[in-house]
Amino acid sequence: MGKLIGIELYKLFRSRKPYVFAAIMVVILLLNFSGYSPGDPMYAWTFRHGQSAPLNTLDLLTQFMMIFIPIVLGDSVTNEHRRGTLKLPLLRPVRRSVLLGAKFASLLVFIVLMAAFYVGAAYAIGSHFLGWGDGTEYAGRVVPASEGIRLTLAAAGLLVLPYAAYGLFAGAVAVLVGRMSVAVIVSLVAAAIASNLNAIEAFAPWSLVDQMVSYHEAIIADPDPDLALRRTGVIALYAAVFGLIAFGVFRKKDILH
Amino acid sequence: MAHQTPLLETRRLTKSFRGRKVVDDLNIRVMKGDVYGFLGRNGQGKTTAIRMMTGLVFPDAGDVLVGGVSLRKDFRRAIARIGAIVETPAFHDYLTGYENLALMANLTPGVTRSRIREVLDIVGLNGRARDKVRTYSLGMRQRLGIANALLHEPELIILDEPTNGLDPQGMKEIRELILRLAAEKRITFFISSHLLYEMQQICNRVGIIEGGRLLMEGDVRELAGAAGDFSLEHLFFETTRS
Repeated sequence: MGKLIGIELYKLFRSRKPYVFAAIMVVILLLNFSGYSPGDPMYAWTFRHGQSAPLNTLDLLTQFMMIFIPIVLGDSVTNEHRRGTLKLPLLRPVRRSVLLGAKFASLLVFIVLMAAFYVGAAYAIGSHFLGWGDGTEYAGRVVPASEGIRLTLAAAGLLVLPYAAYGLFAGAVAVLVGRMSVAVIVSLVAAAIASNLNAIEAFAPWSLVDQMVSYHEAIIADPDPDLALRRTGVIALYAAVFGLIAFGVFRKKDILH
Repeated sequence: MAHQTPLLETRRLTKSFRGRKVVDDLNIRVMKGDVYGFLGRNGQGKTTAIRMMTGLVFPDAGDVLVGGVSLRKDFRRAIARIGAIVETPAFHDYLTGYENLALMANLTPGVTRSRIREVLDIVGLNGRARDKVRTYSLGMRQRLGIANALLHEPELIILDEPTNGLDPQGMKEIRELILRLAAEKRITFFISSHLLYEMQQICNRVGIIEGGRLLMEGDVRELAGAAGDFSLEHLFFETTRS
């Protein structure tokens, strides 16, 4: 399994995708922060200083992940099937479940690295335009910078869980469809529909997209053990259902390209 | 006479796609040391049969045995004895030939860097090993595919239309490579093709498939002995016509 994960990571980071994604993140952050001023009605954000930027703009990271994750999996599963390179490991003594597991594990590494890069870039670009400031603003309070950094890393780290569950959803789609473009579009449309359904109060707590936006809040902004447990359960349920679909279909899939 | 276990055997292998039988009750036996030509026109089930022999496609019925080991029951043990190119040799275009082989070497214990250089040398690609695969010609990709199939020193190599799309020089190179590997490394080959003249020059046994069914299987020398002016092309058309 370890060697397969290494192979998947090598292929991913030898391709241009992660670097293009990182560049897109930087450009979007530059565009957003260069025109931002606290109190501007154009923005939903209210933070005043750069050290508050990453923690208060994690919704941007979620939007990036909604797009990047289906592209990475669409390329790694659907596109490799179509190009014929999926045959390379499958003609070796490798279990299909282990191969797909390695693809998901490398996606997890990708998510962690992208989240870390986002936090670093948001600190740097936010501080460039707004200055570092003397405290981190979050959820109506101001905490010292060290506590702010800890909260920021914890929040980004917690969001990895719903992102990974979304990855299993995108993986199930990638295994089921025959074209990368279809896999990406289906995942994005499903995420967009779920985002809109979040406006319905009864639906939001059961929505994976809602967890991708605000899972961390029940743990670090306004700690509520019951809510945190329920949200974690919702994420685990999505991961289990789509993981079972992805692995179940891939184990029996005829490789025809 | 001692009973010899076939190195590759299919037993009543059957597969349908959307209600159409593509491979129908296929029984093939390839013995150790054979260069077996699997002949048939395009669309007659050769590639689907090969996909089932390599575990890429699951049969509706029947089984594939590699040295007596069932591919269905013990895939990893069975596939470890096979090297294969199924349809076109696909590689990661943005990596070099060497890098592609190094990735695959990681999946088989005991394959060292010197083995990678050795197989590149066997197929005559050492000089281009550090070039990206996207710069390779079809013939070079085919040779890289054979290098990849050779990496873990398999007893059996399965090649699906290895000379398809190659120019005469490329066809000659692949043909000579197969003959050399069969003679020097004692590798058994199972080669599908519709290029009958090519097959006659390299195969000692042939099987003819039509409509997913094996019409005949035989020893080329015995067939040639029965008819002085033996031609695989003649045999093929006689068999498929009947």
